[in-house]
Parts: sequence; C-alpha cells; structure tokens
Amino acid sequence: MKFLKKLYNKKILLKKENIYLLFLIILIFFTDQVTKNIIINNYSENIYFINEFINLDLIWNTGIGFGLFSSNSSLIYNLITLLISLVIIFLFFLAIDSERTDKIIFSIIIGGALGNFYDRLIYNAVPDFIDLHYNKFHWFTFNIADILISIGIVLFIIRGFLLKD
Amino acid sequence: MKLTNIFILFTYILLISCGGNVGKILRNEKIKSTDEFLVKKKDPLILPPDFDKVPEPGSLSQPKIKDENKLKKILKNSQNNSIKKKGSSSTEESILKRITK
Repeated sequence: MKFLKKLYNKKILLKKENIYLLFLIILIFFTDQVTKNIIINNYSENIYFINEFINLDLIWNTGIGFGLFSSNSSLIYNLITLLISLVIIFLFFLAIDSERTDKIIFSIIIGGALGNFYDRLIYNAVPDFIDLHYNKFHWFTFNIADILISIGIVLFIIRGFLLKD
Repeated sequence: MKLTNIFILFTYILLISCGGNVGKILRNEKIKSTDEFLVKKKDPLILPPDFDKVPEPGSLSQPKIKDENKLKKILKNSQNNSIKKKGSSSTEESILKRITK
C-alpha cells in the first residue's frame, strides 16, 4: 500500500521514461501476438521445414516453462495463471521503481510475459511453434515471447554480474 | 544460492511457455524408428496343398530307365516282327512256287 501511495504521490506512472517503456511493452506484446496469429492461421496443420535447424511446429502448452505442470486439470491451470498474473504485477512495480537500464530489461520480460499470459486467457493454452533441433535432438518448442523473456533474464543476470564488479 | 537467483529462476520458468513436445525430446524420436530388439515371430510351417503330388527324391530318374527299357522292347519287337515278316514271306514264296509248279 505504501508503494501504491508513493506511486500516486510522485506520479511515477506519468514519467516520460515509463511511458516509453509502456510503448516498448506494447510493441513486444503485439509483435508476439502477430507472429502467433500468423502461425495459427497459416501453419497449424503440419510441421513446416524452414532449414536444417528450425521447423515450424504448432504445439499448445497448457503448463509453464519446459512443459512443466501440463495437465488437463483446470484447477492447476487456473492456479498457474493466477501465479503468473501476480508475478507480472510484481514485475510492473519493480520496473517502475528501478533505474533506467533495469526498466528496459523488465519491460522486455513483461512484454513477453504479457504475450503468453494473454494466450492463456484467450486460448487456455500458449501456442509454441519454433522447433529448434539438430538432427534428431529437439529443444523445447518455443515462441517469440519466450525468446524475449529469455533475453530479458540473461540481460538481468549479466547486469547483476557487472554491478558486482 | 541467493534468494534473488531463486526468484529469477522461478520467474523465468513461470513466465516462459516453451515445451509441448517434452515426450519427443525425452524419447529422442527413437519410438518412430524400428526396434532393434524386436524378435519377429515367423508364421508356423504349413504343408503345401499339393504336397502329396510332389515327386519323391530320386523318383524322376526311374522313368528314364523304364523309357529306355520300353524303347529297347519296342526295338526288339520291331526286329522280331521284321524277322517274322521275312519268314512268312519265304514260306509264302515257297508255297507259291509249289502252286505255280
């Protein structure tokens, strides 16, 4: 509550930086949604060969990362969705109350997370379609939002190391 | 491990949604290939329908001998007949000579 009051008093949300970051989040969100819609509408039936390392293979994930907690139980699904929404809200607050570099990193993570969260609400599953593989060894199928979240996390870790030094 | 690291890991796993084909990754698609340990059962042996008609081993060489014997018999008979014919002709001639005398 104190933090909310602080937000309201300082009018942090109306800061130029935060407005730019909101645009970044929206841009990432729409980029992710556009790619997902293209795949769902045009490439949903078969596995499409792009090159030796990438296929397009639409798979619906009801669980979290690395296919964990994928089940038909609506209770588990709703609990996970609730937990994700809480994490996203928490990240929002962290982004608002942090430095410029951190704000950018958090915005990338939030943009991707919102993309996946929106699919969970609309489709009750997240569409994954990038099948990275080498010969018969396949990595977990992922989407653009996953890439952006991963980039954000890696940047966050790198920044943590840089700050220590 | 620090609490922030755990939080980052937890957030990462929760927010990303990669997966879907976990089974495919774990299996390494070997299920689709042939099973190298599979012992294929062969069908039981069944006698062919014309098994009784099939000639026994060595039975095919006997008819040749028989045929040869047959040929020899025919040749002998033809020789005898020719002799007989010759014989008959000489008697006929002698009879005819006597008649003509």
